[in-house]
Amino acid sequence: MPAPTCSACHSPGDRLHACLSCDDFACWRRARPQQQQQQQARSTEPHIVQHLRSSRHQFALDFVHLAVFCLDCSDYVYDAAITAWLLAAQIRWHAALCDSAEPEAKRPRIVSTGADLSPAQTKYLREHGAVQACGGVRGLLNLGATCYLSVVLQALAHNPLVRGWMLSDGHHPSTCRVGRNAQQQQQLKEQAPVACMACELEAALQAFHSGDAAPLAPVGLLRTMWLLRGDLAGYGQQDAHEWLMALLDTLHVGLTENALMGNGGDTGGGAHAHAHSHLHPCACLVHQAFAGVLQSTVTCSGCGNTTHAHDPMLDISLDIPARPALGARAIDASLNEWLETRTERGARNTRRGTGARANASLTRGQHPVLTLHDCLAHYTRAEPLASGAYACSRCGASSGSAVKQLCVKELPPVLTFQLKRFEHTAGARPSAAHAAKVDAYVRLPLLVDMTPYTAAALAAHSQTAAGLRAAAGHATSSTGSALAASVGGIAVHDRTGLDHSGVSRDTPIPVLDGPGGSATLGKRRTDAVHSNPACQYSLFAVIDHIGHLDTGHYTAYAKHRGQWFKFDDAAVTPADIRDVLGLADETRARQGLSAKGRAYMAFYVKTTLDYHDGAPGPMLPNSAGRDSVPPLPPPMAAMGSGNTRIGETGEWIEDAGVVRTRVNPAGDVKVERRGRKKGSTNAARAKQQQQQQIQQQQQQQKKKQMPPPESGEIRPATKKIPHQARHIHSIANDDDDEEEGELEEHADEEEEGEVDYAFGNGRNTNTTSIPEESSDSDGEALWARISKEKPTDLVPMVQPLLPMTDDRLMYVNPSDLNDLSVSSSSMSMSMQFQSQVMNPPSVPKPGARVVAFSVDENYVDDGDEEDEEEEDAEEEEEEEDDDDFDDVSDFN
Amino acid sequence: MLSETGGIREELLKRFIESGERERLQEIMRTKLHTSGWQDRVKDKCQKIVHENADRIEKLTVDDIAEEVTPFARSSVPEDIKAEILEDIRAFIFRALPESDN
Repeated sequence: MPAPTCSACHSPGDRLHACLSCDDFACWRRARPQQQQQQQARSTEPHIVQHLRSSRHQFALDFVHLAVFCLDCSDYVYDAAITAWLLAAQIRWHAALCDSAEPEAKRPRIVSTGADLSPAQTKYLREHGAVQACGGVRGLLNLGATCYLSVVLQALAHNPLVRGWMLSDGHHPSTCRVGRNAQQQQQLKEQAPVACMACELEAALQAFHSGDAAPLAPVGLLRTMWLLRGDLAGYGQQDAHEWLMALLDTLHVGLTENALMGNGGDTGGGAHAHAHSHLHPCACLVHQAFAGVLQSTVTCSGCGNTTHAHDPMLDISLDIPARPALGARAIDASLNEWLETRTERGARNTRRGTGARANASLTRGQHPVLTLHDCLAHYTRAEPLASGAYACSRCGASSGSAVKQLCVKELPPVLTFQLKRFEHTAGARPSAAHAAKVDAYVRLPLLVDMTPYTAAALAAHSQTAAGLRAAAGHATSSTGSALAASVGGIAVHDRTGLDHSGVSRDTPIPVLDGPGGSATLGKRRTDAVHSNPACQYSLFAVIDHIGHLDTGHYTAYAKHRGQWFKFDDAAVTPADIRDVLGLADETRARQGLSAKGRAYMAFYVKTTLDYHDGAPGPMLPNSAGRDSVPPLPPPMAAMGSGNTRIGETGEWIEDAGVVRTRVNPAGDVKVERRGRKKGSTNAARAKQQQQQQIQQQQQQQKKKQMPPPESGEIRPATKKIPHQARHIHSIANDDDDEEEGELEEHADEEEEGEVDYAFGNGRNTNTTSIPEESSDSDGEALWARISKEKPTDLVPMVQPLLPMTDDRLMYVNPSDLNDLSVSSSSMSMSMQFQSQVMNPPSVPKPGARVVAFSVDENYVDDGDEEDEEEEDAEEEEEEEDDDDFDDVSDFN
Repeated sequence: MLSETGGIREELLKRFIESGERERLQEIMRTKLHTSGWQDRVKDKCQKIVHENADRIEKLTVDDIAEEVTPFARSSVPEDIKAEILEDIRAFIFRALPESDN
């Protein structure tokens, strides 16, 4: 397929724009200088501007950033409707990529599209909201060598999932068995014997976001940990990783055992009822956010029989290899030599020959720097097992060798890496045990693509690698490891002696260079192993350790609202990205000087969050994976806080937590608050679920062609799905309650059904075809809204699954929601928002202190412009490289 | 062949783009620039530029910011990334050359 090219200069790329009024493409390059005389005042205009002017069209769309350019404003403009629709299209594209990359993925990826906030709501928020003082960043006092506690707490506090869930009233002392006892016993002036870590963490997060900027003393957390884990008690310096694991463990206990159901009854479950295994994943925050599944594959060298073993994990502990696993230096060296022979032969770039050599020498003499990818490649390398240790079950060759390889079967939303910097070498006596710190510098990437390390990629690669080897006859990688070759993208073919792909070692995307070099490059783009958007992670926290093993000091860097901060106990300062990644150390390491790598733990969060909806439905057993989730309270990672739809009378209804906003076609805004009526009890909820299940069964009978919903909702959208079956947003239960509560009269219109836009899971062939009328439902709704017509279908506007970029939350104090009609009610909300993931998973308790949900609004943010600038600058950077072609591009 | 450098150049460029190599290298470069912190530095600089022009913020266009930040951005690209990308491009050229020699 030919790439779209500019109609004026016939070059592809370079900020291509598409005219929105005709089918013309044009780029941003300016007109040739010699045409200046023929032009008017603005002589050098980008081609797209020229086109717009000459054809009198108004708008153009930038390909890369999906920004709309307006001719009159001569700048990019932001429109809420267009942006929402484009975002939805982007989400659909992401979902398609995920499905194509992992067709056997057991987790359904559900996409819902729609606008986030109606304009009336935004207006309401603006009028009634007060900007809260910057919260969320507080130092932590050092209570005596407790820097390990500070860093772990900071890392957790800035974890978007943890913070969002906790602030959404995920766990509250009133629903905690221990917490309530503590309160009661406080009244009785008794000592609370046990403590709940979840309550402590919640209290800590509340304190973080209270707006108070003074350092916080995490006394409660420390005391609770000592009570619960006696082995970690004491004033000595502890290991941050160990502490984090202990914290997560006690948090898990606190969330599962101590949590009470809404009616005040005890869950009664002991620890065994909530144990986590990869077949029955625990639905608590800890495991939903952190738990993944590791796969260990053993391949018998004799018969090729592979056996898999799965283990749940909360984090990945990486050894630091001695040198980069990918021998990129070897590649560069051979490539340089080859380049020089080529240039010496007098090929076209004779006058650049010296330049080439000079440039090539830039990378010579530089020491390779370890990166996280090297550590991951080392972790997932294929290592041969000792002979005799493995007895193959198929071919029975017990003396044969086998190859073991680790990979990640399921990636958690939050990925935690620990670099094993502490080597314990036993001495003759226990007291002589030495522990040495591995000081090697490891560079952490800001974005990590975990696709090459997943089990799916490994399986795909081994197939293609086998095919390649057969085809090319001789394809080796520098390390001889199958996975490393795909990771580094280095497949050196010695077939012709001329086929070198000098892909640098930092390439995260697995690139399989086929035989024949560039001729087959075109095939690579459709390679399903290329890159799975569901495996992209971005860094949000780093824990550093400085100094010696026992007397060192921990500091943490974390990203808060897009800005990096350094947390050194009580001192919080804005930090530069250079310090976060330790780039100064990297420069020294490159030059071969001694550099102390400080990064100890790194926290990554998925950039595109796909999640599992917890729709109560028939739980079909599945062989592996976390398909079947028991109908527990909706999982925390559900979507969105708002849910908008058009009611029958043509008015906008939006539900967000406790608030329901209605906007009638005349533009009046009415806000209702869901009250504590009978609908909020557990019995009502159970009844709702029953109704829901009955309706679902009726549904299935009606629509036979649709497959029964497995635990994930995969059905394509139709009109008749009762809104109870809507599971895309988390407050489905709240809606149920609302129906039974004060908003009973609208039960009918809700039942008329919303159209759910659910994306098919590629595994189920029935569901890949989406009925026509709903494929563009959001687009239709968009036009309906714009043209103010009443849509014929009821259109669902459900919270979209947004790529998680920044962590901007809104905080609502429910006690202020008592009477929303009073205009001066102080709902303190922060008006900065960009994207949202978390939402209140459960009913906000009366008297809850802080409820967090996030709201998306399209606002003019210079940040977007800057991204374009980087893109532009990068593009121009690219043009500079093109100058090697002896000024092939002379449009600059 | 040396005499028709014009045609060779254009054909190379065409092949560069159509084979997807350009996109691939762009992706690689983007990743590298991002992980090296360059993107954040440029973003910082853009924010500074916006602050400097706070008085005429309404009239500030994307182009203006681009013009101001481009020299800084270009000069602050780390040398090793430049070198690596140039190497990749050279590798592509020499890979493609034998086929266009005929």
